[in-house]
Amino acid sequence: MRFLKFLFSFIITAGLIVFLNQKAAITGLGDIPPLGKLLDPFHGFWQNAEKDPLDLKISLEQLKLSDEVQVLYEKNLIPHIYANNEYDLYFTQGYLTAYHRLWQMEFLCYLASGRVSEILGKVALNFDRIQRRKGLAYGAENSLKELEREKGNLRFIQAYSDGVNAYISQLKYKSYPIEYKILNYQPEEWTPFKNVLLLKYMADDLSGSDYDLQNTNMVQIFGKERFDFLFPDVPEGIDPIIPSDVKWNFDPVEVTTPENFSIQSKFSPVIPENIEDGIGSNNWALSPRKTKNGNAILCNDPHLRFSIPSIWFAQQLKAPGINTFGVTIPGLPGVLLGFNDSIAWGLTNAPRDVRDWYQITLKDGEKEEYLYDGKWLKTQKRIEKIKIKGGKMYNDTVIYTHYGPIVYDDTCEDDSSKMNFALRWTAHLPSKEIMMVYHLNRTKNINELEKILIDFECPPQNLAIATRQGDIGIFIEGKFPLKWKEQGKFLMDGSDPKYEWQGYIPDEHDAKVINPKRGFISSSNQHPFTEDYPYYYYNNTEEYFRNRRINDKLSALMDITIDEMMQLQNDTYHLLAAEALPVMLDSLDTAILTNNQLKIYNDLRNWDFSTEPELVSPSYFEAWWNKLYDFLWDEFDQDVPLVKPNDYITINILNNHPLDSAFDMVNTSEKEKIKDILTMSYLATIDSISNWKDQHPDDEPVWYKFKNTRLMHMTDLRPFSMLQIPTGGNKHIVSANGPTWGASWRLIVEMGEQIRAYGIYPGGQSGNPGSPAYDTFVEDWASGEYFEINYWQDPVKNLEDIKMVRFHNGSK
Amino acid sequence: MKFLIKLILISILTYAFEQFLPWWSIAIAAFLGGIIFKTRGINAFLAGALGVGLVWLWVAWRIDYETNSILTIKIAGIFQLENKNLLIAITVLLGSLIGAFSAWTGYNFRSLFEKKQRKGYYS
Repeated sequence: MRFLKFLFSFIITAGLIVFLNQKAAITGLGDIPPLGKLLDPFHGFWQNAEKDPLDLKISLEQLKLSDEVQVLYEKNLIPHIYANNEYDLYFTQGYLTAYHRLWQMEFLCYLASGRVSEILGKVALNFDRIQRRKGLAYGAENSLKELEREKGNLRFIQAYSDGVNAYISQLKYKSYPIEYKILNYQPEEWTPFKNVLLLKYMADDLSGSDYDLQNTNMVQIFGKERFDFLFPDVPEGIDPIIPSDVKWNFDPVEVTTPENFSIQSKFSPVIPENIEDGIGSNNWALSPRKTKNGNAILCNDPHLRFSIPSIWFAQQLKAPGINTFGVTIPGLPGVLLGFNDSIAWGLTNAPRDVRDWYQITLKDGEKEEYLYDGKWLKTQKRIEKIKIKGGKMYNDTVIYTHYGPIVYDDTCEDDSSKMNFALRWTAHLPSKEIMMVYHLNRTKNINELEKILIDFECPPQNLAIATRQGDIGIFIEGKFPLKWKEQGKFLMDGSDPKYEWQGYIPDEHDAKVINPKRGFISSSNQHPFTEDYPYYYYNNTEEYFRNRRINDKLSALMDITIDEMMQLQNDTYHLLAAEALPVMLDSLDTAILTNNQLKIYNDLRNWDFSTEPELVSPSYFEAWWNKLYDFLWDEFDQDVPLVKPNDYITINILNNHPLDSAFDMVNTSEKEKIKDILTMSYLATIDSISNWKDQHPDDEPVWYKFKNTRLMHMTDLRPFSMLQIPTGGNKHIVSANGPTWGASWRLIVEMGEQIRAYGIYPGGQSGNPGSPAYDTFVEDWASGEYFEINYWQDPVKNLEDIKMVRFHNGSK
Repeated sequence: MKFLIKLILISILTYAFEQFLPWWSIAIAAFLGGIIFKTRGINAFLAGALGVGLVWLWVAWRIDYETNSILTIKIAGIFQLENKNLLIAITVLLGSLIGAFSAWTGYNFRSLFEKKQRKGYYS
């Protein structure tokens, strides 16, 4: 009896412990983290709560440094690292980045390599499969092999990895970042492969998008003439990166255009995911004669998907041969965007069609051979083993052709049995962008810079620079396939060699401008040049508005100050609205409007096109524009994937083609005219805003609330995220803050005798939601403020609010 | 008195074990506390609950107070709790539950080795 009682109590206790020590799945509630572990005040989440971010718990044991390293921490948690050699420098960067951002950097790698199922289970399987099938890890492996060919290359990457691993090896459950505790898994070893992988992840984020399959469908449905009208390669009135007075002084490589090539007539129900609308960037540089102090100024604000912790981590790195300040992606050694003691640089995405789809004819279900030039060639198989939390391993066989992986085949969707689309993409090539970053951090002038650009392949970028010597320049860098007119704009036949890429544009033919007459250079993801560039180029995600606004402003300004550049980066003037709204208002049938509707109409008439956060008119315009766009392009809502004409073309239709067939709605018997469409969309807008008011009874539809700019934690957990951030702007506006993307980093540097620099990003240096430094910069960022960048030549002492940490070899 | 000593002992052991061992070490602390001194079962049960619970309450409350509830509020949000005090309460309840059952198990363990007694108040 006593024994039974003992046994009973023991089983209950043990059962409770086991239950509370593991993740339990409760139907309807989703996964519950291991409660005992998580709630224990001595080891659980409580231990992640921080009082003072500068109260660093850095352990100097077992650090394999060769010399002492001094680190100055500012109050906002920006570290300044002073090392006596390169190894120690990158080791410490790796260690400190992991200290603040370990979970984020590791999770980015899980995303890049398609391993999310290991953490989240089967829900992530489809995501993981596509990530792997498009070959990001394959590209990273190629690149790592290429890097390994030169011995010195990997040393700094290895040093960074050693630093990350030194931190990981010091971790116990108690000190795990909170996300590991909630999702119940452990950090794993960091490797140089992951550093390279992160660059391929960036390549995917910035160049992993095309409309080849949609274009193919649209030519079939609307005919080539209408397609060319709605999707011109280079529309009129563009303002390109390379000013049109620049002459091309080289002999282009011949490209053979095949006779009678055809556009594949296949409909393609499955389409690759595309870059979110709104992702882009601005950069510009001013020559000394445009600025008040006579120094070159560089400005940069990359617009990426928002997340908190931010995608950027700021630091200064100093060692013999290098002294640089800027931001980098956690997991990437060096400084990606910033300045050194000689040059300042900034990047924007240079969208270009660097990936194409080929339809492959496989011999049979075995997929061992595919047709090419009348012969059967062998395929290669790569088996992707996807571990699934709480499930069986999923083996995904991906077929590789000489073009690249067959991303979509009969294993993907039910109705795609005959597709077999192979992807050719420059991100698969062995490339050394990481070396480019390494050298960029040490570059002294434009001549040196031009020598290192060759390593820049994918994603293509517009690199703007300003030097202390007073030079400015912009370089459109990347590995660009040689193409005949319209090659790769549509799906191509993979069995016919005439559709092959015929090589690459030689690096020395890449476009650049150094010290142009107009005294500034700028880029905002617009067309790189007018049609007179000797090579065919294509892309249909170019920007048409931010670039014109910035160039107008920069042309007009003289004696430019840093303050004016801050204003320009935060400029919320809505050029699109200024060009679209007058015709929209003019064509509206005001006779049928009620008093209230008329009031909104009059407010829009008097609106100055500013999109400051507290205004209401931007909300009405945005809603109206979206409704109008939907009504206008309703013929594109079909059950095969298509893409709608861009905003610039839409404005052109409104202003110059009032009788275009686009104004007629497909699903009505009447023949609508421009006036009908505008009136219908206006009334629908009033409805949708009043719906919004019903859903938000306590709020006015002011722009920032209506837009809802938000910084979401990568797990989408709301309490770790920030919503309704009071900031103006949107896509196509210089201050490009949309709902889920925007200015992820703003930098202004004046390259004078004394370098003056200002920066800000939406987030904080700490990745820990339990740290006061998790969101340090968000409020200032939203209101257009900056922090002054401290660029100290030596570890200054006795400053207030500065904390000094000395790293040394643990054995000392 | 015995109850109080038992409670304090469990508290001290809980605090000590938690410095070096994972969270489930509170069970060992309460189990040991349940073994020493002969008391009633309910007595051990309550000493276990309070012994662990009070230590967890103190540590959790102090962290919450010192850090201005910076993380407590967010975690409460994740569990869809209305306020952070509920999260503290659940934490304490959980520790108390383990403590109570462990101490009771300790008491039952002790009973295995005791001479059979006349059925009465003290069994």
